[in-house]
Amino acid sequence: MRPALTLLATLILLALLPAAAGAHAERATFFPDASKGARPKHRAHGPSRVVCKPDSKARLKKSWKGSANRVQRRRSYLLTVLKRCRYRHIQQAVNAAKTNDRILIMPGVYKEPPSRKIPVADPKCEGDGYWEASGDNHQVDGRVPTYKHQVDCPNSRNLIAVVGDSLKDPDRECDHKCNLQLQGLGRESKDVLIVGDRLKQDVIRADRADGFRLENVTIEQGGYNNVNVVETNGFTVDKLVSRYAKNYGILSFASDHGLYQHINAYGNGDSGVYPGSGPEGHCKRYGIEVRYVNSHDNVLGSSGTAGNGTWYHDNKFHHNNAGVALDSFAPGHPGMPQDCSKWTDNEIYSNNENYFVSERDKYCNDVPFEKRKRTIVCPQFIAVVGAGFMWYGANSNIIEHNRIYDNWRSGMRLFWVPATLRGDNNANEQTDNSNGNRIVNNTFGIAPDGTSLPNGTDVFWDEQGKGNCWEGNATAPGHTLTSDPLLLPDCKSGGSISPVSNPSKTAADAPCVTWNPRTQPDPPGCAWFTTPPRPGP
Amino acid sequence: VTRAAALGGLLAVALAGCGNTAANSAPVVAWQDTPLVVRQPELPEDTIVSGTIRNASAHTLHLDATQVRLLTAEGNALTQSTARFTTGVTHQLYPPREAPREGEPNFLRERLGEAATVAPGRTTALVVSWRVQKGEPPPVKVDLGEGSLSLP
Repeated sequence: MRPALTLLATLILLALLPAAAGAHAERATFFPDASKGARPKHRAHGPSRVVCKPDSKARLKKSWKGSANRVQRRRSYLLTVLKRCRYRHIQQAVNAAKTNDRILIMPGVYKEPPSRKIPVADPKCEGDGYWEASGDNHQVDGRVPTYKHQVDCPNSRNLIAVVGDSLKDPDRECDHKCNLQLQGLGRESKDVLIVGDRLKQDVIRADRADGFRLENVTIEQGGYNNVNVVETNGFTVDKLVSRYAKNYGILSFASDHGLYQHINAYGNGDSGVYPGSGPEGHCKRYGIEVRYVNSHDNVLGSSGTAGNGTWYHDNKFHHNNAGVALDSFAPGHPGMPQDCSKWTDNEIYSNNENYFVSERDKYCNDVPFEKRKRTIVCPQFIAVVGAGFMWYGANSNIIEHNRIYDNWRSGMRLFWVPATLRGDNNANEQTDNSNGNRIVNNTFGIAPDGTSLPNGTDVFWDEQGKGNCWEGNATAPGHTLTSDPLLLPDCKSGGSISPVSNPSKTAADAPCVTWNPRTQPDPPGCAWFTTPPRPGP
Repeated sequence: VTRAAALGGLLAVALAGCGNTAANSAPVVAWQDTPLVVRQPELPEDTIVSGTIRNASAHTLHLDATQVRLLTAEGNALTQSTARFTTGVTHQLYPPREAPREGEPNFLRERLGEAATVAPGRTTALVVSWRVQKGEPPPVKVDLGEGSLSLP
């Protein structure tokens, strides 16, 4: 091929490739085949491998202490199971596992020393085929590992890796170690503690590991994520505590048929839970369900760049810097722009913590993550302190029957993100968000016990978008919905009609983009990082 | 920003002039329309100016936000200021503390509004902001490196 043709072909190929993640650096990823896959249910029977520590017996007895018949039976059964323990490290059991195995983890603290010995920059995976450009086209230090890297050096960047797809075929589907169930056998999730080394990106990574299920453990101190589920068709994360990751407590990406439930996520430098690049159900289905999550004291309770096709219900997002972000911020997330998630019966409240203060900035700048006190949260990206819902580039979402209160800046913010800001310069796509969001029958400014706890402004909207509407939202007696603009379009009328935003509101946000904790921690003109005053009753 | 505050703080001021420092030379850049001035009640020392600028020269401009200076009437550059060639909110792929050691690729810099390439006659957004303590002189001019603009 002539050089010019080769160049052209390369450019076309690059244009066709889905770029990597936006809010986190990931390889080019693809959605699984939505016609396949299913959410894995708990299995109490079937082949299993038992992992334990020398003190597991004592811990097990302590965990299952009690004289009730049920507890005694369970304790006795687990002591029998313990006799089958053949592995000291979870990764050892994963390495030995076959498809459909259960890995039973006895109470104990798991630091995975064999994985820790493997360097993050493993020389085995330095060469061609192991690295690719990031979604923002970083070519050198910012490159990201390929899937082949995960296969050949699974513990270079992951403390525990479940890598399911064989490189022998191109289908990106799980071939081995599929339907693995990693299950803590403590009475509570705290009884099995998996501790990251604060250097490897993921404590647990499930990569093309269809049917992956993780339950009843505590994970902490991930160098980026505590749990990371990538290109996986069918997954469940259940009864987990996920805390003190540098960025994300639990992250899923380009995965489908998933369930997050009974999660307690706190102390994470970006969000507690992050179902990003969610399933492309296009409002016909919700491929990931998030329920019974308590996410607090993170920078964000939940976020999802291209957080599509996800149904959140019966969750609590509170005491974060901001409650919930949905966005179309960054380039290349599969599924851009964000669309078609549903929020029902959630509580989003008291998101007024502020980690963007100068003392925190100094500490976070001076002390690298691996040397920080594990409980100190350092913001990794920008957030609107005091916001409940923080939606920047969101389409066709349903927000119904949620309770949103005591967020001192705004209960919800809805803003446009011109497509060019995520690297899409197609003129026809610049106003492809934020459109078609229905915010109906929610309660603003009232705690569950009826106390009036107002938001700074219930709804702060940039006035852009088509088909955005508000209807039937309740407020405390004597209060009306506070909003900017004062009048919000209702749904009966068809909702909003403006393709462009109020420029003064857009301008007011713009300097916040320049935030950099080292060089620009408090950008002039940006109000986001100042704790808003508590609104009057 | 409440609606009332936004409206109250929104000062649409026609520019007295724009262009290069030499009064009789052709301008390199010009405001396309009257820029907005936004002040937020909770930030009384801060000002934002947002508008669209046009390349009025005959050559392509390569603008770099790190080179933009906001100058007082005495020609002193403010120490607390920002500049971006975009409006709207986005962020980088890597957390700022962990940015790759190599420089940012131009694709990224332009996406984030840190840089802009503007062909003759074409436009780009410009948002600048600054903070001045009470009694300190405000800026009167944006120095873009290639050309300058008066501030309202």
